[in-house]
Amino acid sequence: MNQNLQILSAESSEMNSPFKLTDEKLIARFQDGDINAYNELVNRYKDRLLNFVFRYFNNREQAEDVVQETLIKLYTHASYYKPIAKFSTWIYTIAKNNALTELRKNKRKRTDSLWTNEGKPIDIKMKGDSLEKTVHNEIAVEALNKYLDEIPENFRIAVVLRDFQELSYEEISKILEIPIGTIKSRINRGRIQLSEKMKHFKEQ
Amino acid sequence: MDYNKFEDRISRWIENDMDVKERKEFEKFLSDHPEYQSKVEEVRNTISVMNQAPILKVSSDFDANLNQRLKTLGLNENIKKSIFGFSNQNFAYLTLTLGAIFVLTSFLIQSNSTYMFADKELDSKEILIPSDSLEIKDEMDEMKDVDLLNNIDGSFVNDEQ
Repeated sequence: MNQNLQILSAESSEMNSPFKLTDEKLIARFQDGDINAYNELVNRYKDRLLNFVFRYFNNREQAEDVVQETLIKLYTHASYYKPIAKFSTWIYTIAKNNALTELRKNKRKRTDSLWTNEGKPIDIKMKGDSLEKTVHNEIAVEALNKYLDEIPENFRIAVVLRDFQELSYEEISKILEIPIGTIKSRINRGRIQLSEKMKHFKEQ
Repeated sequence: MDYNKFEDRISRWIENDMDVKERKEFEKFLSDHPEYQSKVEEVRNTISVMNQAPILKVSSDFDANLNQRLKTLGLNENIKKSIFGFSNQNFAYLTLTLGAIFVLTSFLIQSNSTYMFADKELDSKEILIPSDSLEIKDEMDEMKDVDLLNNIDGSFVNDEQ
């Protein structure tokens, strides 16, 4: 399988072509025994899940561990997936449950470390901005990550799923198993709290 | 509309998630209270910063570690491989189809042979007409008599010895 992972990252396949298979088709293929489909799902979701799980721990190592647990469950419990739900909803739900289990198990307090210390971002997507604006955005993002850590967890997770992961309200509602109205309210409250903190940051 | 209601609806207004009546009500409140317009802009900017936030990437040894964990757990063996180039599901369909063909063929062959045996049985009944049966019976009786005589002769010889 190691070979498969390497092959997948090096070669372009049908799965990497412009006419990409949907996640749902990939999981169906994996359920039929296609290991390459599993590898493709891992490639598609490992970073996204890390960015999500990281908000629970603010610790890269722990977050990666939980993402690996999630991807192992994807391997062992693939047959549990039914195409009535989107694959992303299913995998985020597993990740969320793993993160919560890990939090309960370890009863670890969240560290004071910031994202910039623990998990320095490698890939920065800035779309044709000037250097000044890019630097300004980087500082803003650093501040935002710090403030995200300061708002209540139920607001933070909902905001992360919406504004970082760009999931629909319906998906977030399913993942967090909370009514859609409550999700909208939490996201709104989270955004307002963040924007208030960001306002103070700008004034400094 | 009061301030609390206004605040509750900021995200919905930004994301255009309101009906016409609600939107008009919200926009009227904003025009009546221009001091709150900055509040909306702050939320909008915060969303924008989050949308442009850098993507945290897994470490370079993530795949290798995952692979190692799968190996340690012996999970590589659990993956269902394809059979003779067919996926498991397709192989199952193929097996079922072949099985159905086999059962059908067997049924047809059995039906044919029942008719064939029935014909043969009929033929044998035609041969064993009563007169023939009597002749055969007589022949068998004669053979039994010859055997009996042979035995008598044999025992006689043995006794003399």
